[in-house]
Amino acid sequence: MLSLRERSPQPSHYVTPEYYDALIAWRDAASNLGAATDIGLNAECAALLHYEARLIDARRFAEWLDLLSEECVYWVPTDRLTDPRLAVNVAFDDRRRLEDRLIRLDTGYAHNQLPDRRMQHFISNVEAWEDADGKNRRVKANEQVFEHRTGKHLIHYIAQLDYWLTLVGDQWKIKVKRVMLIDSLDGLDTPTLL
Amino acid sequence: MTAMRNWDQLIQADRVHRSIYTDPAYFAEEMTKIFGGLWTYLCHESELPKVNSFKRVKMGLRPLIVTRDADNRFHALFNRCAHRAATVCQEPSGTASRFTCAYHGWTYKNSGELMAVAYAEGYGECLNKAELGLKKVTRVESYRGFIFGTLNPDMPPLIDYLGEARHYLDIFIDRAPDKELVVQSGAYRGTFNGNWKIAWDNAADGYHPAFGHRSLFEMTRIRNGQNKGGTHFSRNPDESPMYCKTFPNGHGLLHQRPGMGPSLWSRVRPAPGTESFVDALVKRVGETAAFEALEGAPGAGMNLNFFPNLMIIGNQIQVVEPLAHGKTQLTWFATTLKGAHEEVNALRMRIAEDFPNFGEVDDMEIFERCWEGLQAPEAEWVMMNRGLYRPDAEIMDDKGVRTVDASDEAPMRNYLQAYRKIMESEVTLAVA
Repeated sequence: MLSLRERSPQPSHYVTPEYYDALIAWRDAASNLGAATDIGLNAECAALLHYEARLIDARRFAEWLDLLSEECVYWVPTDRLTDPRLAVNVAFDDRRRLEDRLIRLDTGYAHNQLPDRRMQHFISNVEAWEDADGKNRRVKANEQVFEHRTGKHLIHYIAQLDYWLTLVGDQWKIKVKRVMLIDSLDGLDTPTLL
Repeated sequence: MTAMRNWDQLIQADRVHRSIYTDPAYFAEEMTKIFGGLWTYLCHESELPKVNSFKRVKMGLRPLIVTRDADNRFHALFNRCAHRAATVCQEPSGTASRFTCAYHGWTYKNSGELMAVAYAEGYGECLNKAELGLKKVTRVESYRGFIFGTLNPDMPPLIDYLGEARHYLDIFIDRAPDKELVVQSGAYRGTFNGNWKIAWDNAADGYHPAFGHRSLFEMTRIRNGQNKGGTHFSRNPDESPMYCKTFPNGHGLLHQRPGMGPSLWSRVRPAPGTESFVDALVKRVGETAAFEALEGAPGAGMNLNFFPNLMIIGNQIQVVEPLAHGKTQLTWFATTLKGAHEEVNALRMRIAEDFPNFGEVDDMEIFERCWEGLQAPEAEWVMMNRGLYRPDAEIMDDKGVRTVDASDEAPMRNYLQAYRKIMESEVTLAVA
């Protein structure tokens, strides 16, 4: 596996108007989801989310990024129902910017990571649905994230998670991770990675 | 209390005393004299797009509702029932022709007048509705869409208060094909533990980028090479064509633009969708027109600051919102250019997300370190003497404008002089 620094930034061709349209349609389709009745599927997806959380907490960022598909988005909206083309977000990262983000965190000069910032992600309320064609899944969950540095106050984030998983070969990859913070319209204590 | 302070001692030519940051007594006075005693930025007209639009804001700690009434006049009302003080408006923004207090049902027009009181006969003849409207900010004026308010009858007209600095705001606005800015794209909000003036000390600081933003510069070097992002700060900025200006009333400018080469677009780091949106634009309007229009996507290469709470940075409007003497919110409103291609405005959103995520995050950490360091009582001084040794350091033109090196601390000295001037004045505030 290439380290993050060994990866050269690739042009961003996939974030097109059609991609934004698909994102919005996907987001809005969650508004009337019924119960997630496939217990095995719920458990399988929960395992993926737990593994993902552990990779972030351990700062295994390159491995975390490899859980995401090539044409991925890490999306932390400020408001719930806006079109990202018309609104600023806390974060709206394609793969290239996500690599930027992770590389900056580990430059050794990201002041709020020093010394020894720690994170713990808690995942709960996992529900999952699979499309009829068996190639796409949706996973919803709740998340609490704590961040701390010794001598500093504990930072706490609460969010709804919404994942678009897509089948790449025989592996489920994260195409979209949308993190809707409960207090996204209030002032944030800058999160490391939600 | 004002008379007890020795301002010559507290704010000297080269240094400022820690107590103006750390002493809560100053904060209480600042929240009336500075926020409200000076022209204070409230919001942008485009946030109130139609008749009966409203938006909640704060002027210092005062909760306000800025409204556009049925006659298209703007008002800044205290969000405070004249009866028992409850706020009468809870939504952050929306449309409403009147506001009703949930406590006892008192109802006000969106121009502030008290319309109706429940069971009014209980007051007999003694209810004077004319004096029981929502209190109003007496003076509300706009400059090219930017709405300001003051409670101070002695303030000059807004345009004179903004003075020469407004010409740089014109540059920021005139990048729009229709010469208008639109503020309807939400905001990024960050809070830090520290006094609001720590953010002001940094606002036109061309000295810090190579150090404070080293993580961003290192990332940019690894990812984008030497000619992108803020790399014009990677050597001594005083040897570059960049400069700072100081203006009367505490306003300041760090002008990066002269150090950024012919094209702003070619300097901006690539954003999500850059290639696909540029391709679409080129296909639609041709290469020449496309790249001309894309010059409007990044910021204008300015840090332009209007004391006490409005800052232009990147392609955004930053508002300084003090929450307590040791807690501050910085709100970065995204902006679009009226008349610009949709591709350009969409790219403005992704570019707007870059600096708060990768730059401001380091600034806010440094602000908190300043706040922690300021807790040592025996270390009394914050220094601001960079550039002061120069024989021409205090020379200003006939409009009161100084032009100095990019890393000079003149902008900090300048806003603190404006701070001192209002703080040591007897200010009588008036509400309607």
